[in-house]
Amino acid sequence: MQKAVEDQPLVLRFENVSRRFGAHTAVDCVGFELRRGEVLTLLGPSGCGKTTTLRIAIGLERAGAGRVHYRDRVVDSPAERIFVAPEQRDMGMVFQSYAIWPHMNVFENVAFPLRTRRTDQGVVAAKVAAILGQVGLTGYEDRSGMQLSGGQQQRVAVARGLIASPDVLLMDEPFSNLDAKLRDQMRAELKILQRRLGLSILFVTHDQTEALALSDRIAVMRDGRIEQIGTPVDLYTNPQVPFVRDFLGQSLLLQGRVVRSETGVVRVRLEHGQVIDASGRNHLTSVTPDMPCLLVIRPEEMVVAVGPEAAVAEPSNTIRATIRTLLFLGPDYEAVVELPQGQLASLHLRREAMWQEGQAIHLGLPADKLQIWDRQKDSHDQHRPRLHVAREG
Amino acid sequence: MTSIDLASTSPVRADAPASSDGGAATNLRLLLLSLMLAVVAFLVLYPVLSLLATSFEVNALGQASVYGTEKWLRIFSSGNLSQALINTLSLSVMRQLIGVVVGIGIAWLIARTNLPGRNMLEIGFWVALFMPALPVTLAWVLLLAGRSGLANQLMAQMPFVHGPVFNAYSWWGIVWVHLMTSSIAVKVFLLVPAFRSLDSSLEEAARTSGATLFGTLRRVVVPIMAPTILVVVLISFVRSMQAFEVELILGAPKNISVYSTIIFSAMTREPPDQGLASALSIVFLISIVPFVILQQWYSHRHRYASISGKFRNRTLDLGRLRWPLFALIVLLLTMMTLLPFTFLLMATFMKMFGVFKMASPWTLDNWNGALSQGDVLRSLFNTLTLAVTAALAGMVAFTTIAIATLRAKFFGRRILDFLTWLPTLIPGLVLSLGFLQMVTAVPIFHPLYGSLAVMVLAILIGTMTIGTQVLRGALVQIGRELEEAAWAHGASRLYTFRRIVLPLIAPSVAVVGLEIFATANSAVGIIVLLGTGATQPLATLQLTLLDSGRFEQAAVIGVVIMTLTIASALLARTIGHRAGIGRRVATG
Repeated sequence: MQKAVEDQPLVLRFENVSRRFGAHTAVDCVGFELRRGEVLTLLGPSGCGKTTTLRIAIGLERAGAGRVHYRDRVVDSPAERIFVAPEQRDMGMVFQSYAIWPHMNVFENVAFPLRTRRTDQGVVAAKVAAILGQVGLTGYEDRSGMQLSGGQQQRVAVARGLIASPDVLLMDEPFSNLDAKLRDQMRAELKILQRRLGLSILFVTHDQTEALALSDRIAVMRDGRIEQIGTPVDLYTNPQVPFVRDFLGQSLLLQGRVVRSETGVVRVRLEHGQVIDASGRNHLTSVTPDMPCLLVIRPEEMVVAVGPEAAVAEPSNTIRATIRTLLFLGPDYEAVVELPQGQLASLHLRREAMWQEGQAIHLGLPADKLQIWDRQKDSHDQHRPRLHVAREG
Repeated sequence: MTSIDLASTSPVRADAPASSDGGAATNLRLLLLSLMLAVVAFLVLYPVLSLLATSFEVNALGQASVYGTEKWLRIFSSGNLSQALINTLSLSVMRQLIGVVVGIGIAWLIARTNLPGRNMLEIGFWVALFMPALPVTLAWVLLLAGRSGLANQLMAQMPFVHGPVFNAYSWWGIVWVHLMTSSIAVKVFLLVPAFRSLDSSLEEAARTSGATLFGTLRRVVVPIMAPTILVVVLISFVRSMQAFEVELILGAPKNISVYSTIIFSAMTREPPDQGLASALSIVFLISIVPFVILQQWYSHRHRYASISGKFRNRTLDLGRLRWPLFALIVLLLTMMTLLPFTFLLMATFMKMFGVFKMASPWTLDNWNGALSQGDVLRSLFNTLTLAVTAALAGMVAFTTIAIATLRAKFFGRRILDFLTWLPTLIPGLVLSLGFLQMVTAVPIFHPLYGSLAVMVLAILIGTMTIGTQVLRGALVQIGRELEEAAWAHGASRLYTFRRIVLPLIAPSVAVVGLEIFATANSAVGIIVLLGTGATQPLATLQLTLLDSGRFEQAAVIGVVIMTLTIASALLARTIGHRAGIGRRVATG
């Protein structure tokens, strides 16, 4: 699938697009490409400029600088004095609130884009019936928008976005108004629909789980800029900047200083004196002895053991921890453990074993999973969230 | 490579006709908006400025202008002014004091408790709010005036009662009639929606902590709602300072004058003293300004005071008090609506107004007379023409203004918004005087003198604040995304307005139209100086008849006005309720 996408033609392309609101730069030199059949997600915390970027794509906002291409033409380029109004762009969009018009029934809501294109009545009826079938709303034609549940409203919004066969569907946090269970279901439905129809989707969300699950590629945004763009697996396993590392999933951050570095293995002395070997991705530009660094590992990559005889290849890579709180979640436990120096970390523990609060455990840190980061660069990264105890907001 | 060749794209130019943001269209829109701003500014500001200029004219009417400060010196040297000011304030304060206490109680009972028939009762207060003041005053005169007053005759039957107990022609009579028309009803109308938005667990917490029903209201509900209540009180305080008809009928015989009545008497004496009336109007306007500023400032600061996101609205059980309270409110509503209407209707069949001790007091002559008399039918026709024209014009104008103040990218947006607020400041009578001066002083407006057109304009300015606010409220409720979704799916701005915005605000537009219709029917102050002779509408004819003591015929006209007004009020209520509007009206 991935390979196929790369061979597809470009649908949407942003070239150094910026947008200011007064002194605030909402979108700062953003560039990306969306190919046919691809789902590209703009992911970031609120206020990062992702929604503004989406609104520039459809033309509800104008770019302040740069260029937007859609299909084979430029649709927004202030320098060339080009701006195509949203109604002439021929895109589909699903709004955060769904924007189902309350005075129209489902049929009229979905038929609206065809009506604006003065489509023949018979064609309208056939197309609406077909698309309602695709989203599973056959038989709901006469319902008013107010009589629909959240999930049904969302399907109407998707059907309306797709009915005029646009080359791109823009989705602005489409799942944020649904409860958790429905959100999972709709996410799966959307993915199936997208694969079946070969849709190109530009998707905006602040929810990393949603982004990881749905996207072919993700652009992580912060302060109006794209921090990193890549496949979900790439971003998760190989973050290039601290912000992306901390925004996607959880990480355990251990402070220390470099002891020495040879043949791809960096030896680090942690704050409480223990020496650890790390051979994961090294983000240090140059290694000098005693320079401050961070060892970073995803919690699920640690090997938890009750006794000190931890099952990792490097015997010294085991640190002691104490379980402080223990939450039973069903499939497993979520525990907050206290490391030496009082640092707290959150991790999941298997259900099979008997755990209790106050219990001492040992965490094995496989050397090849330990990334080495520059602590100085990290502390410049002001927006870095502290280790979050809860998973997902 | 499959990537598109970006150099060879064929871009669409911004100034091409395909773009809706083309330069020509933008310029035209800007021109129209500027024109609208200029017209509104002229109609709102000119009357006030004209009053200011006229107040310095000391020449007799119709002679060359001579300017001086004589009128100003006169009003400040006369004791009338300060007495009228004291009366205006004291009457308003007393009405608000009683009105707010009773109003809070009733609003809370309707909004928060299991009072029987509370929805019907709410509609009752809506009708009461629309009851036209002049006909209601007339009905109360019939009931409470001196020895002939029906209520007094009833009381005289009782032992130990000597002489009339009630007197409509008094300070308390004025307070009473106001309480029976708008002072209580407006508070119920504005507070019920506010009370509904209160989280009921706050009250339940008070009850479970041991507070009584009354204790809950006094110690929890009222303090929480204090900002909203204060705004409502300030709004109605400003309105009650502007009252006119009731004071004119009930105050004049006992020399109880208020500001609006001394302005009126300056205008109706022979020869009319426009300079004096203008100077008085300016003083009046200035004395209202602090209260309006206070209200604006306060409601701006506390805009979100009572709005909570998720809340539960459960009703409190009144227990044994349920039916007694119901009976009390029904009694009050009857006195506000049914009683005045019935007695006014009765008066239309009487040979002599208020005189029952006659061999055969009843007659159809009043109706026959009214229906055969040319001036009554002509006035009815005038009123209907005026009301329908004003309603239609207002619906278009206020929708345009509301959209312009909310949505247009336009330099004058804030000025326009401010201008729509200004008329709340101007009492109807003062507005009337300002428009009279406008048509007499500006040569191109001379043909408008005494015409229906100038009355339509005056009614529009008088109803502009409420009209634009209701429509702004409706427009704000339409999420921006509903419109954006239409643009995103291929609809032009005009098509979006026609298919999305207009259908959604249509009920509000209709409600605004009906409100203008009702105002044009019943308002006396706004048009009293404008409609004369051939264009005289019902309201002013009624005032003339009252002035010349023909109470029976005035009652006939009163019944007609009341019927028209109540019908439009009920219609507005039905439309508004079905569309879920009319909830935030006038508080914004």
